[in-house]
Amino acid sequence: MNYFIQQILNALGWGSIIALLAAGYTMTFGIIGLVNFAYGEVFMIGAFAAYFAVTVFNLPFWVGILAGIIGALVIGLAIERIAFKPVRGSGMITLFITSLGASIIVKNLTLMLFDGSLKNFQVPKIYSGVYLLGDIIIFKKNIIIFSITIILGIMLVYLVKNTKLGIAMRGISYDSKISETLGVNTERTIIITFIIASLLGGIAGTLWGMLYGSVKADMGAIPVVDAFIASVIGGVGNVFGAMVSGYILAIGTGIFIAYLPQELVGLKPLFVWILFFIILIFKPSGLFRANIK
Amino acid sequence: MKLEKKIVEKYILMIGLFFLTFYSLEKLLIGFSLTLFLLFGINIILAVSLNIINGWIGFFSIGHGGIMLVGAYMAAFLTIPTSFKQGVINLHLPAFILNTQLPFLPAILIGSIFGVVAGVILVLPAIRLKGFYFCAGTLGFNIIMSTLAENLPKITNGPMGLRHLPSYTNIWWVWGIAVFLVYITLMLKKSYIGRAFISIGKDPCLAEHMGINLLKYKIYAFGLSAFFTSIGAILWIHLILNLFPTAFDLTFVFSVVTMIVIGGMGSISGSIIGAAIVTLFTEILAPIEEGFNFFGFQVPQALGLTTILLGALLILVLIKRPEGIMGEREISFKFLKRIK
Amino acid sequence: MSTIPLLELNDVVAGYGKIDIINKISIRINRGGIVTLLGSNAVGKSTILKTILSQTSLKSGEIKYNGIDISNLATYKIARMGISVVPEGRGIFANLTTKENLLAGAYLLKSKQEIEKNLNRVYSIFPILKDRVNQLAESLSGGEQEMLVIGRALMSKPNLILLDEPSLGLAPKLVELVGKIIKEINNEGISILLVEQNAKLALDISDYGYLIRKGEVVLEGNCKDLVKNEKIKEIYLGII
Repeated sequence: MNYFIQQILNALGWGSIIALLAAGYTMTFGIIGLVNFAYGEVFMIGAFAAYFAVTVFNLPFWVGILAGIIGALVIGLAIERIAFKPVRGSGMITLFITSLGASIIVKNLTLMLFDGSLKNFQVPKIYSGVYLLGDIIIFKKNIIIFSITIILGIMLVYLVKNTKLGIAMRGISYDSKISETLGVNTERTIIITFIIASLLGGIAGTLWGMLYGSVKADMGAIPVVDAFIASVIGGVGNVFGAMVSGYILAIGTGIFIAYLPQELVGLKPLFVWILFFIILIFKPSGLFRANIK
Repeated sequence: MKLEKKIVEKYILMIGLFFLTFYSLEKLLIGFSLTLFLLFGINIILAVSLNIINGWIGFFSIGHGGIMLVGAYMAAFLTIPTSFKQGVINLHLPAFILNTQLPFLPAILIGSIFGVVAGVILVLPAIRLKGFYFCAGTLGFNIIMSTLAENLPKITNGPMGLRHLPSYTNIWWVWGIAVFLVYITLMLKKSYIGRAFISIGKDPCLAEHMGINLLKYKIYAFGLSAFFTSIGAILWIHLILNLFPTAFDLTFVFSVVTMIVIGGMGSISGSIIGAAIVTLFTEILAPIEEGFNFFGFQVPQALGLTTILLGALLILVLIKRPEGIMGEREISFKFLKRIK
Repeated sequence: MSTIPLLELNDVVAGYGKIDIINKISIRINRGGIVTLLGSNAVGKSTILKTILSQTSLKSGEIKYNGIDISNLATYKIARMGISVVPEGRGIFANLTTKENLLAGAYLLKSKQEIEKNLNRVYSIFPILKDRVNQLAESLSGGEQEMLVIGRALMSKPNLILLDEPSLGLAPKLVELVGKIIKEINNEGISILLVEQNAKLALDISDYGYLIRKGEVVLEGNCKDLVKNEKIKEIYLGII
């Protein structure tokens, strides 16, 4: 039982990061039907920007977080303008292919400039350390990351449910033409959505660096897939659903690994895909209400 | 009688031309240009077979990497000399595999059949997924297959990969199969089956109403595509002489996707053109990637430059000319028909 | 009192892509009036509404609202000028609740009190919506959904409402109710452009009508006169 609880607690750290990524992912997925493979690179650039500020330039940690957010914002919007806006309305698959192209470009540029090795991410001492609860170890980092995520999550859900912007986003996700007839400036709302999503990506990237103490050029590859699957499972365009699903994926994977024999631990990525196929076969619209037609 | 004689004459002429061309090419090309030419041929095979699913049937699959892995590993198991299989690598495979080493043709056939099985296993659950979710499912298939390959070292030797593959690939294998594939797909495009494939891609509801059994044809298409994709993969590994779980990763699949998008997704000649462009691009840029000496300047390494430019090219094509170079048409050889 | 019409279309040619659906249509709506576009299926009536909203390609001609040229103006800007629409097929946001749908209609309003006031006004016209306040819009019946979209269109206090086939798929009692509500809204000063296949309903409640056939106006006049016109029946049934 303790082992079980331990797995769940461990998963809360990276589960939170996946939840944040899933929230950002599902927003752009819902509003313009974009399955953004390049979001993993927005995440990565955010982490790298934070890494540069903190480890290379030795700036205080809060500057690192800011740098992460700004870095992610810049790259997220750049990709949107260059790769997504020109093909707006071309269908999900075209959008996906361009996002694949953008992802490959950014990832390889980073590899080219900074090589593929792990970069050490310095975290201030106060964030490391553990609490002990009987046999169970609780990492301070996990608590911090989890708390930040819950707070952001509450803010996001409030935004989406109770503000004009939120209604506009959900309206455009369902039917952009009708939203326009109600006076919604769809282009502007789409850009705002990308800004929010990039912000989330940058925060997630910085938190990841903090959690694992390192960043790497291809670090976005697996999280972006997890974020995508969480979006689908949660109901496309549903921020709450995406975040909950992010946690489900992480905790589920944690339990999955815990009960796998040692040599097969590398099969970890399979869990999310098994869940993906199960949901798509039995409840294709997702666990929560989707915001698309 | 005269008509039959003419057809036979035409075929003899074509086959003769084929042998002549490739015999001379084999003599002329060496080293880099030979490798380039072989790569071009393999890329044609991969592009044309991917086009059947993505272009004609209209199901956008990026899961062919998984199919390639299955086909390639199977063939590798059969072609690696027994001494290596038993001694050096220490695989836990059925005895009859460890004890045999097959020549190329049976290895290709068996490997490709396994590739087809993998392809059908991929398509059956995924077939119920609509539009984009199918694409996502195929991505999952890719990831699942490479994760399995990496984490079952007793079967695949894990991340260390397989080496000691005999150097079977040559101009005859590659171009023989490439020409054959192009020929049958061109014929297919004009035949009932081919047109059924294309109609499924354009309007599946209408196709069904016209009596086309969607499931049956989709499976045929996938089977055909998986078969030749596996062949392409097997030819590839017997050219570069190694096989790792990451061999057919997303970057690899992406370059094949780029070929068919640039060329035009419904067009066979388009795929050939696309394959040519991408092959040339990749190989010409490869030395630049290594870094080189330019009039005394040491230009630094730029690893991944090819991939970046390829990605940029793809995005450019999708923005400016999304239907690709050829769209859905083929290069017309009508002027040849006038030669009597 | 101003004599420029609230909305006018002058020789408008429009369609989708290369295909022209409406060919030199001229229509006038005066302030406070109810104008109806009649005609059988697929003659271009809905296209006229969509063209006013810039949702089609305007090939030639002009559209003026209060004297201002709004041809090709972005849809959301047209909404901001005070034009609302009740789209064909209801056009609810199925993923939002009843209340959220109505709030979406109030997107352009800034003041919370105004929104609250308009919300209560809509509830008083359509009491059934108050019962369904937090229900997802897709769970409402056809008639309730129609009321929801009309309510939504009212939320922004528009000057002109475009209604596209509001009676479609509704039981006769509801059709009557819809007609009554349209008249009631009009009495408060909102101008109406009504597209309807149900000629009886349309002629009953409207002041002026245009009969559309194959993308052109073939007949127009006061509804009192149109009702007596034999030609209407024939053109309507496609006999001529």
